[in-house]
Amino acid sequence: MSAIRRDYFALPWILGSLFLAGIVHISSVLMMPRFAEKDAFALLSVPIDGVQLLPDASDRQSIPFQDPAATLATCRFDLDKGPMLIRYNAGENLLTMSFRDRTGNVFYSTTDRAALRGKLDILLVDAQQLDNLEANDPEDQAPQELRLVPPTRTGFVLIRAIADRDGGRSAAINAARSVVCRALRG
Amino acid sequence: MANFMIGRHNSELGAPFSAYAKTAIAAASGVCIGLVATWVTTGRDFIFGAAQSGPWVAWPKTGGADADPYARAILARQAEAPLANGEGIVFIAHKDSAGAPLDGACAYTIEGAFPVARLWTVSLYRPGGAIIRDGDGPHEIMSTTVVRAQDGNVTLTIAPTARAGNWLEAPRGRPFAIALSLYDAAASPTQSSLSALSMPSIRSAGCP
Repeated sequence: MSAIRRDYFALPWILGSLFLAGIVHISSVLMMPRFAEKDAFALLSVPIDGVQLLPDASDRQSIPFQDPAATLATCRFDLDKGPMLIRYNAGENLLTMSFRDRTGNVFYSTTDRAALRGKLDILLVDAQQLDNLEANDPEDQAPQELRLVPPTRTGFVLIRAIADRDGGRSAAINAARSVVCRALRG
Repeated sequence: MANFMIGRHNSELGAPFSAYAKTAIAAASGVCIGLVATWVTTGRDFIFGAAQSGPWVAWPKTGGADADPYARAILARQAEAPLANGEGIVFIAHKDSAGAPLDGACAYTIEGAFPVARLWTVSLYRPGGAIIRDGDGPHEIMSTTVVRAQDGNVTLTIAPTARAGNWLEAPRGRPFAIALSLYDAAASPTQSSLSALSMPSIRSAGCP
């Protein structure tokens, strides 16, 4: 009888321990995007203005399951420097873009096929910059560009230009290089 | 040792210290278990929202704004940047259609319907996603360079030695994974629509 009672005596401690383990587990999972230091933003995006090509997959792999046919390029944005314009004049080359916030999570993605009249025009703004823009918009015409408000003030755009044939690498590199990515004064 | 210490303090200081010690042990082990659980669950593959069609697995939620907290933690910790839903869809296979792990000593045939996309690529990787660099043969083929049969069908062969037709070099005697990337895919990037997608089969063609 006393042995049984001693066994059950540990039960509340075990339950309490597991309860705490659950809280620690959930909160550490939720906090990981904020505290991961070597995340995609740190490893892939470069703190310069404009588009930066990443190494060719045959030299150095940037991400797991990276498609060797894709030339990767990134462009970091920081809304404190003003609204960010991303412009691409669609050509022959297949080119895709994913817009990622500070934690690497996607908030928008598209391909060159979405280009309007051959042009892909995207403006990243915060709420205040959006208000300023809309105040200056002409009333009789819709804005020419797509305006997006990212979830975080910094982040990056990941560009993939696909070499769609043997020897198509240089065309893909040129396509990725031709993407305009620059902060506007806001 | 710890039991001895607690026992000794217990006899000297009485029951309250024992309660403190037990609380401390329970708290410390709780924190440890929680952190280990996080470390293990975010160090591997994604957990929720897999779309599976035959041996092919896609994770459509990781490429959109509605990724779950585990997916976000895994993306951050492993610095992944998978194809986003507006760009296309990636299917990854670690097994053949019979369920056996892909083995570089064996030959495989991939055939059947490839999903509709503007362009697709098939590439071989190490199981963790590293590009295979050994061997002289090709490790990637795409829809624009593939040789098609007269009826338009595509058959790919993965084998450690060169074959006629569309051949990809298997890494000799080592496990590997196959990624099928669909750029500008016609299928909508949801779990149900991708699971229902008709995908090519991966059949073992013998292990020499």
